[in-house]
Amino acid sequence: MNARATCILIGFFMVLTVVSFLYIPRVEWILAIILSATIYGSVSPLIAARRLYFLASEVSHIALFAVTISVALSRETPLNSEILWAIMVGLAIVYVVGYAIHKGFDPDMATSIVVSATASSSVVSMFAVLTRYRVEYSLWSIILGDPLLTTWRDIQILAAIGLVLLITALAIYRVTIYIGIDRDTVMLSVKNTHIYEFLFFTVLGVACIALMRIIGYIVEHVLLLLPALTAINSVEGSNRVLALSIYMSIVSGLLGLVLSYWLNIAPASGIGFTALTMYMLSIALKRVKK
Amino acid sequence: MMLQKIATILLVHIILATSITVTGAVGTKDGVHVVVTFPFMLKDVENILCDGDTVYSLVPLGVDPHEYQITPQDFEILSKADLIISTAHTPFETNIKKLIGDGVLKAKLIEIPNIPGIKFLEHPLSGTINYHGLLMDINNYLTFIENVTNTLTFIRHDCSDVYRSKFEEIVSRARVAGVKKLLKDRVAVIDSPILQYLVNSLGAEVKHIVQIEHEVPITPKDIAKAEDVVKTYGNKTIMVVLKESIARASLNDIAYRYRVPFVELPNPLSYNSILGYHESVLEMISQDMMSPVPLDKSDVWREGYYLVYVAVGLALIVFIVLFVAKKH
Repeated sequence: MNARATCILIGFFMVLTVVSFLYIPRVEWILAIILSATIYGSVSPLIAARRLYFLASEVSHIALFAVTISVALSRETPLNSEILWAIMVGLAIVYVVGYAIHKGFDPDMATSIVVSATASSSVVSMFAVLTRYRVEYSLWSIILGDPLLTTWRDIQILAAIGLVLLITALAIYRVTIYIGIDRDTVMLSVKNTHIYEFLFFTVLGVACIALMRIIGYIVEHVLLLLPALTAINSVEGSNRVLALSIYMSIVSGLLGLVLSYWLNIAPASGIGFTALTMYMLSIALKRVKK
Repeated sequence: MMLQKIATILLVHIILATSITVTGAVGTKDGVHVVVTFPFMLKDVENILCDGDTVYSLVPLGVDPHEYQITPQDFEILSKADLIISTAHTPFETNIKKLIGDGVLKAKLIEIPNIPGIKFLEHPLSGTINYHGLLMDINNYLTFIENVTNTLTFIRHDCSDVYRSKFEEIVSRARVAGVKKLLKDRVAVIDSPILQYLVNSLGAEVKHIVQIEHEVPITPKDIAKAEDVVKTYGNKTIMVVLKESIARASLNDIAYRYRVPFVELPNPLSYNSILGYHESVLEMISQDMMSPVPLDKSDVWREGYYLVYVAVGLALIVFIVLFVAKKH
């Protein structure tokens, strides 16, 4: 990407940011989108490097199981917080998948086994929880959010989690890419690869499960999967892919939000279509380049 | 030149978009703006309003509220609302409560399960409280309407007489519906927890709910239990199901085999009035009762025939493909 293209992208980003702040009536919405898009934009290349798209998109099934179990755990233990239990149980399951992958299991196979187990278990646990405990709400309401219903408290949580995840993602980025390319060589040349693996699955789990409560799983799915794919189609070099992925994620988020406000549709659909359009354009661009 | 064009397009978009007006909730300055989360109570609330008051349903008619995501216009309406009425159980409703708690939304909140005087029924199988379809019970409905009337009176005192007189009209209409116990002395098997309050209000005793909870899949034992109830109570039994229910075919088959009445009701979420729905149900059931439910052949049998045709068709295609492959 040459200097001129970079200037155009930066210029477009600045115009888009100004338009968003002028046009969208609530600052919380813009901040929620920018923060979550930054997190997902930085996690997306990690998922792409490890080729864990299937795991990233299937975490919502794990979350459902975690949610159902969390109702029982919050009632039976001193820690009376369903959301905390849901995140802890969900993370523990993601660690199980991570451990299996670390031990040499095929990622898709490990994900398939765990998702099958959690999806089946969630049916049993849902039955047990809904027939034994006084639950007056839909179980999804424990963990499912909507970007338009974020509060300032959510923004603070998002900012704190975002900062930690962004720093961690940047810190493990290079090694994660090496693991994705040639795992055996990395195991021989880098000490404590299991720490990088642990941090990677922690970032993935927290980004998928904890943030679902704030911005919902549709935005999460879109921004976890597409920005890195778009960036890989457009530029070469891992640092550029990371930078463009974060850029694409934020631009998709803001453009989608503006679009959703303009057309009066749910932001998830606006963001989804924008990210998809960008991905299609990147494919077209790649073909033109060839 | 190019930049000028882009700037002009952006400006036009901004002007166009900011000129979008909120429709469906426009009222006078002094009116009370009510937002209901589910459309099935829209007309019931509308019937008590005073001049200038408005009511808006967040979830459009016929849409499953459990998966609904709010739009920017919805949020604008929520932020202008004086009163929000919620069933307090879907993800977006719990988030709205959080926003009211944090002071982002200024409206008063009525959560139906928390209204004093609302009576709960126990699930016949699990013994837990059933929170679905609470307002399908006429007494609960009246408690709800009275609570809304009192809240509206509190918000807009100058209209208290109007609210009260409209409330009385609804009470008399609801009592007419409430005295008709068309299912008195019957034992009911229903397919969804949402029907328990309605069927109970019509005089029947609900012995079994096939789908134990909204999010729980039906097991073979749930269907077998339905058959057990029919065997035990014989002609006293009635089966009440929602149209397009997943258990419909199986229950219809049981009803056909044991010759018990089988009543199919429309989904309450496709109605915009609880009382209107109740009255429609009364009409449907009274017609069905006058002429015993026609159960010529159940859906299971019809579906069975289709499956045979499909299997024969597939076998024929496979045979032709194999034959052609062998020839070549």
